[in-house]
Parts: sequence; C-alpha cells; structure tokens
Amino acid sequence: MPYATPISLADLRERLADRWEGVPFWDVDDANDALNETLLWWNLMTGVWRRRETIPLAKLAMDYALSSSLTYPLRVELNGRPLTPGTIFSLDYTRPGWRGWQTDTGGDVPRRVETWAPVSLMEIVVVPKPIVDADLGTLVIDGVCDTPQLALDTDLLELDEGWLVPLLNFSLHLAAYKLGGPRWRTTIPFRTDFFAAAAEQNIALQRSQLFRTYAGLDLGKLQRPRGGQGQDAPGAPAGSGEGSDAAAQPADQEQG
Amino acid sequence: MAFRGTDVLSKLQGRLIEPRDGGASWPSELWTPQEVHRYLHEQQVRVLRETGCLISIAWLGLTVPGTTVVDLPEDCLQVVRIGWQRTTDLKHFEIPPADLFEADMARSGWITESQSFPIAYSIGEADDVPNQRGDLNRLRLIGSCTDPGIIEVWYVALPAPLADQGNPVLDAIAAADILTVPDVAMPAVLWGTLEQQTAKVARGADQPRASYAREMRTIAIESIQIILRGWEA
Repeated sequence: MPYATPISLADLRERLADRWEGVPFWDVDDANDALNETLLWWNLMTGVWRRRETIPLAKLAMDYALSSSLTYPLRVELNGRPLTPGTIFSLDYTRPGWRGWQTDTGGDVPRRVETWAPVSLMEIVVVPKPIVDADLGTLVIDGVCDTPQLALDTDLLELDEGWLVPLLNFSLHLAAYKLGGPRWRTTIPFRTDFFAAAAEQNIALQRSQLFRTYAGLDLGKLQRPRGGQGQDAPGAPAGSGEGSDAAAQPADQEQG
Repeated sequence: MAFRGTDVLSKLQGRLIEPRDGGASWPSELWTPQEVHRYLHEQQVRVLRETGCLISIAWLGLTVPGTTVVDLPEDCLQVVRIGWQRTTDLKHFEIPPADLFEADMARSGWITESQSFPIAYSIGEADDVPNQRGDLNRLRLIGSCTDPGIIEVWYVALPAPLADQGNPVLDAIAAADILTVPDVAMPAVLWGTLEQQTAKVARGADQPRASYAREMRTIAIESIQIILRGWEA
C-alpha cells in the first residue's frame, strides 16, 4: 500500500466538506455515514483491509467457520504449504463424492489436504478430510477483516493517498442522494470513477459484465474493428468513421 | 462486526431527510416505523437468499432403509445442497433436486424400485399425492434406498427478526437488533430498503431514486457473488 498515511475521520470530513457547500442540508452525521458506507463498498469490492487467522485442523473435519472479524478468506495455508483454491461448484462437477473424501480413501483422492473452497462468506471447507495425526496442523487463513468504521473524530484510517479522491467523491455522491434532482445527478460520474478504481484493485470485478458496465469499462464496441473502412480509434474526431458512432459510447453514460 | 438495526434505520432516515432516531419516527408520514422495519427485515431475507452469503450445515439424523420423507430444519429459508452419506462405509453422494414429474420422466419405476442411495430430492411434494403442494418444510427423497444413511443439508437460515414488528422502538432499544448479514453485505440491505421506500406507491414515490437504489443493490449483490465464485483462475 504505497503512500499510505493514517488519516482521521475529522480530516476526511473536512476534505469531504470541500466538495459541497455547507448549507444546512449537510451535517456531521450525513458526512460520517457517507464516509463509512464508502469504506464498506471499498472493502466489499477490493478486500483491502486484511487480517490473518489461525485455526487448528481437526481429524475428520472438513468445515471450518471463520471468526466474525474475518469476513471472507483469500488464501489458506496448511503447515506452511498453500492450499489450492476451489469453489463448491468446481468440486461438485469435477470431483463427485468429495464430501466423503478422506486422506486414506485411496484411488484418485489426494493423500493429504490439498484444496480449500468457500462455502459462504464466513465458512470454508478443506478437501480431503484429514484422518491421521500426520495430516494435522494449523490452517493459516489470510482474509478480509471487518471494514473499519470511524466513529470518533480522532479515529484513524490507513488509506492510500491515491484512493482518496475516488473515495471522497463517492462519499459526496452517496450523501447527495438525499437531494435528488440535478445536483445529485451531477455526482453520478463519481460512482463510475469509484467502481473503476475498485476494478483496478480487484481483477475479479473486471470479469463481471454487469460490473464492467457500471464501472464504464465495457469498451468492447469501441475497441473492436468494425467493417474495415473508416475505422476510428477511440477518441478520434466525431464523424470520421464508424467508430465514432454515438451508439458505441460507454454504456455507463446513461446510468442513473 | 454486524450492524445494529437501529443504526441502519438512522442511516436510512438521513438519506431521506428525516430526523435520525433509530427508525422510531418518520415525521414526513410517508412511511411508518413498522413498515420500514419490515422492509429492512425483508431485504435481509432477500440478500441472504440471493447470495447464499451465510450457509448453515445440518445433519438430519439417521435414515433407516425405506425412509422417503424427512423434516428440514425449522429455520430453513432455502436449501442450497443435499448430500447423503452411507453409514456403513461413510461414502458420500450429492443428491440433485428434481420434482416428481421429472422423476417419472427419467425413471418410470422409481416408486417401486429401490437402490442403494436416493437418486434425487424434492421439496414441497412430501404428500402421497404426486404434484400436489406438500409441506414446504419437508424433504422427499426420490427413490427408496436400501442402505442406512444420514442426510446433510446446506441451507440458508432465516435471519432472526430484528424486533417485534408491532413495537420496533422498544424492541430495538432492548437489543437483539443486530443484522444477521456480515458488514460487507450491509450496502445491499440498505439500498434494497431505500428502493422499497422510494418505490412505495404513495406521495413519496420517487422513480429516479428508486431505480438508482435498485442499481446500487444489484451491484452490491453482484460483488458478493463475485467473492463467492471468484477464486479460480
């Protein structure tokens, strides 16, 4: 996290206040709510606030609950050896009967714990079940922790300076929802910027077509060669070819 | 960390230019405390059901050979997956969902034939009359099995109600108003509730903001789903 500096809630609020006119519509609670909700969205999309947790591996146990402060896991190690990440879907469709697998099952079943997969945000499975003492050890789980929520003006948040502008602008956008109308609509592009910044941090978001649309990343129509003649590069002067067709604009422009 | 219902209600009040008091009053009279409280609970149920972000696992006990109907856990909101484990050799089988019509089409003799493990399961068709809606809390195993085994159910549990919906103010203050969803899922609940409020067919109806709240909810749901399916390359 380069250039990360602790920043207090009061400082964040002051910088947010720079972005609006201090009329009575806005109060401290509005600003705090918008900032804290922004942090929730950021952690949901990027998993940036992380923590490590250790859980002892138990004989014949496949399911492990994470503590309430670890919202979801990102990687799992067993005795210093990284386990292969999977999903329940892939286990079901590639390894039928995996719920009954044990390290002594034999055949194609691995003889040591090899794979982990998320059951839900707060539970994982490891496959196969350990059966002998030699298989046991400690699971080390690197996961996303609860999102920091700032309550006191002196509460500090460690934040990359480069994220500050999209985060503050998104907070402004959330807070402006109460206004509705043109003043709120003016801030809608800030949401697009925020989602694009999140997609930079988390490549998994870019695989979702829905997310790419809202983040203004669905530029396929602009980038694909279309018809040979008169092909414009994105950003070329309007009317110089097919690429400047208005229909090929990013889909997010009409959001909201 | 999970959020308190009263805190989320205060956030909603802030978004809708109402004084913040934990959802105890809505002076605009566009909504009542009870209905907003119910919206919030409904949205929690919706988020849990759509994302499966919290799954409970239960073992339904030993089934003797020939068992075809089993009660599901009382708090079962949605079944995610059913497995059956033979007790003699601990071999595990995933049991797919089907209805009785599908079973008839796939294997016409399934009622009289027996096999070592169930071939499918059906919910809501536990009565003896095929294709009549039965008890939704009962699971019917399709195919009479000859071996003893236990049934494993992965399910989404119904969240605890935030408070007595007849008197949300007192109950919320009395505690027990913690949201069931993890904190990262709170935006989906918040925006779903905002959608419900701004889409109410009443003086407060606000189509642009309702549509926008729906978009935000959709994005939050998608983000949770990405987490749950996004580990593999």
